[in-house]
Amino acid sequence: MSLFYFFRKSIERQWGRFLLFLIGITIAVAGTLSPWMISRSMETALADAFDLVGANMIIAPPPGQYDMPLDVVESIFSIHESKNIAVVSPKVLGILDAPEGHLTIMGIAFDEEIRLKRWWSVEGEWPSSFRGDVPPHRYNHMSAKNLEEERAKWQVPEEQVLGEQVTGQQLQSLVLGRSLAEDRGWAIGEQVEIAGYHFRVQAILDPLGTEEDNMALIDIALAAHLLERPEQLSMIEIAALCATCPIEVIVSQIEEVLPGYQVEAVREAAEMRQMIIGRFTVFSALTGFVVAMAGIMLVGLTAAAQARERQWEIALLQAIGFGRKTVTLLLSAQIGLAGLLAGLLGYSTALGLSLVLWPYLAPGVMSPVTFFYPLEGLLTVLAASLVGMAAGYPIFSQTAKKDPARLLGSQ
Amino acid sequence: MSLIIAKDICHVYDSGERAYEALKKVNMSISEGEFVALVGPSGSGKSTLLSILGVLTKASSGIVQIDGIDVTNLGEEERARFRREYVGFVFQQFHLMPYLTALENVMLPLVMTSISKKEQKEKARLALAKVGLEEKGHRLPAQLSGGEQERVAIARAIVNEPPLLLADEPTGALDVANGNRVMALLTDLNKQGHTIVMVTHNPAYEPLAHRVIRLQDGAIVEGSGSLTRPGEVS
Repeated sequence: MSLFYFFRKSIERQWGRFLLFLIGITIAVAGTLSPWMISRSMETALADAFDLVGANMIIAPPPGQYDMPLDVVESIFSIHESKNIAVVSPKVLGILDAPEGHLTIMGIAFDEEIRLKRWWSVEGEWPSSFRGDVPPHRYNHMSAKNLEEERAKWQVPEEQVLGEQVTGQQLQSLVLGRSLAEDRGWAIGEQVEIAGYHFRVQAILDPLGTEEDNMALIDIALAAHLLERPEQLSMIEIAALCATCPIEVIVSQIEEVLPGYQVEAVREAAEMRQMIIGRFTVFSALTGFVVAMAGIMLVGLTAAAQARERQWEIALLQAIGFGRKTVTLLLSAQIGLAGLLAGLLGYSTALGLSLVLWPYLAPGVMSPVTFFYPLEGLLTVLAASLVGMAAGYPIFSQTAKKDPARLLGSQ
Repeated sequence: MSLIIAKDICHVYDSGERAYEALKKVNMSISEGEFVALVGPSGSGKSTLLSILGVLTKASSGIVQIDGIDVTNLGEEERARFRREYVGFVFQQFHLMPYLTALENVMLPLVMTSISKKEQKEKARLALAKVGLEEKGHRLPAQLSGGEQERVAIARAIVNEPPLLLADEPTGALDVANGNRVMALLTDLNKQGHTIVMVTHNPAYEPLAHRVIRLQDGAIVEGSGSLTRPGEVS
């Protein structure tokens, strides 16, 4: 018979007792983890919700200037924190002639703009991409190498902009603000001539209550061409993506690479976001701490009860020649094993509990929420095992130091 | 030749609030192959003395030598190893692990030795055979009678073939028939060469021992040197 066999047998034959102990620690682990998982997910959901509000930063040309070069985009992606930049949406603003009067034009990158303004809804179909041949998110992670390639796409082929030669397929996309569309009486699918070029009304924005209600949105490259400001930008909106994105740090890094430019964080939104997320983080940490303490106490009490119940076993093993340390380790290892299993069970229970409770705690939050954090899971299992052993060891050790003869005689 | 020599053994139980002197300068020697009965009223120090002789309890003062080894100042792990090799304990309450079979209970003291599993099983079977339970090795303690459980406990005590067997009221929880059977077994083991020190309250078993040492209030009052002849179990 090996020591392991004895260890296994003592668990097998006392399965009911072991199970009760296991359930006790499982409840402690699940009770610790589920509030933490829920508050952490709330934190993520909240950050996502704030990100939906739009840009965190706006870059404008230096005071007294109206334009800035396309190279600015490259500079933005050269900063250290560029990995935390989600969307860069450049814009060109200007006024063009149209048959029924001047039009305020905003040249945008359609893909980037709709990623930034996720709350926009339109009648019709939002233009999909830059002349249909450029991959989406082209401003993300753009390197110096492909900037030249990018720049080449800003050269609008002559045959596409000559009004009398355009075909149905060559019509340019036009998105209208609701007020503008109503004022001019333009509808979806209608062809409109602006500055001598033919456009098709592809979408009309639902009322926003902002200046976009009176604007015509066209492709940025075409707008720059029509406004005769090639490779020039009026402003850039930037969004940082994640809950932990350091917006203030990104702003200061952009200011470093673009000296003189007006780089502004949308401070109110950023500060509110940080404040609320910060409160949730503190709440999450406090909840976790309080319940973890309760869990550790429960494990400790269970270990103490085990030690009391098994003290004659501890004494007998010593009487037949087991060393004090061996006995202590043997019994602590059983608690450690229970902790290991309970860690796994507790983590799974907490996962299930969080998924069940989430709809009641955060109704209507549509963003995908993930509760599974593998690293934390692994740490939980290890911690439960170590806490079990650490709680059991001193108690078993203390029992093993008692006079075995008295413990055996007391039975 | 003396297997055990105890010199000036004192032992004090100190609970913090009050101290109780369980043994007062006890001197004794036990020869190899001897069967000694420790008798006396409750609280006279019999079990404490037995536990000190078995290196389970450390005496407050005095010297204990077993087989020429001074066990007084051995470290904790050395004391455990010494018990494993030299001493077999039999308790009144059997103290069998309820989750191990009779055979596994007997094998338990061998777990900490270097002998193979096969040899462990062989030795345990042999020990069970010595106590007449070779057929019941697969049973759990709960499936055995009180007498059988005590015999399993004796098998566990002798499986390591220790020179010294210590029995603390081995018949205390048994009826007369089972008690007599256990005593016959101990006498037999003594004849096979085991030195036995037994605590008993039952005067009927005193004649079975070579020598009776009577304790009172922590001191030997009778039998420290005399040798009586063993009787027969009726």
